[in-house]
Amino acid sequence: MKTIELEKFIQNLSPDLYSFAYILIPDDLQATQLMIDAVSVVMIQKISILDKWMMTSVDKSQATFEEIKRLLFRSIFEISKKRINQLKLSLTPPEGDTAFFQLEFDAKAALYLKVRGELDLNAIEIILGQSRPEVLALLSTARIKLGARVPSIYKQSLENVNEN
Amino acid sequence: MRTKELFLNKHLSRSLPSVFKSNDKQCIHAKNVYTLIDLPPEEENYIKLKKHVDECQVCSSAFKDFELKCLETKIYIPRPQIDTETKVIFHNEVHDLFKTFELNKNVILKKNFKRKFQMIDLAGISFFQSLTSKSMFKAYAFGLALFVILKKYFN
Repeated sequence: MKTIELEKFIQNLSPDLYSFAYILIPDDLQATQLMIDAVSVVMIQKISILDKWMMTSVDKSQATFEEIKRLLFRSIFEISKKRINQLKLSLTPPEGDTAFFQLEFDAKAALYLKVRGELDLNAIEIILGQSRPEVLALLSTARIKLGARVPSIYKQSLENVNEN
Repeated sequence: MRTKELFLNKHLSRSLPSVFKSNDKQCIHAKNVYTLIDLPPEEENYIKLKKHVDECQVCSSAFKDFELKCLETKIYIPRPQIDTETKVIFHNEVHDLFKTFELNKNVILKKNFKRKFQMIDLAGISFFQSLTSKSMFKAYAFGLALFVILKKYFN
């Protein structure tokens, strides 16, 4: 029964995992492969955690679920970091979001996890394998760079009001 | 001595607490206040920075601009959607992986039992090996000699 529960949990994570994988490697096939590889890696490396979880009571399950989720994200990040160098030349950033996809790899991941993933700083630290000041610096840099690259809607609307 | 004191005063005036002075036009925290947007409100750093931002006009306006810009840029952070076909592929792959890894209670119990049995088995082999070692034979010989001597003595 617990196996099915865990299987369902991982399967239900597919939108989040795909979204994160696609942010890091903007290609449909690569992102899908990345998700599958991440699950395999977690199952091979962390088989002991899964074994233990199978034997734990139901009330302790939630904490393990969160840990597994973080491990999957971390695994996606680690694998994609290795692959991006080989794939860099063949990838083209998706239309409309070029400003975001032009950000540095780590900064992009941190900003996505914070804003879209709605994760707290502790979780981001674990996923990226970096310290709190490093994560904060990444987030600030990413926000500043993205802000500089996209047109200011607020300023444009002010100018339009002034022109009228 | 006086020079050293002056140097220390000058140096300390540039140290961290001094930059928390309000309305400082040369406020070096104008960049650091950006982290306020990502820090959790219960953290000590957040409380310190928030206090500073509330008191310093330069930082306050810098932070407001930054906050506004972040709100604007939020729409430029994409959230790619997974399509149904990819979802089905992923579900099947996960199912296959679970089958391959045999992650169910009975299998894990069997695995644990095997592991523990192997440990006992290994301990057993090493015990018998030690019983037939050279030092043990010496001990047997010494024991036998002692037994014979003691038996003669008491008889």
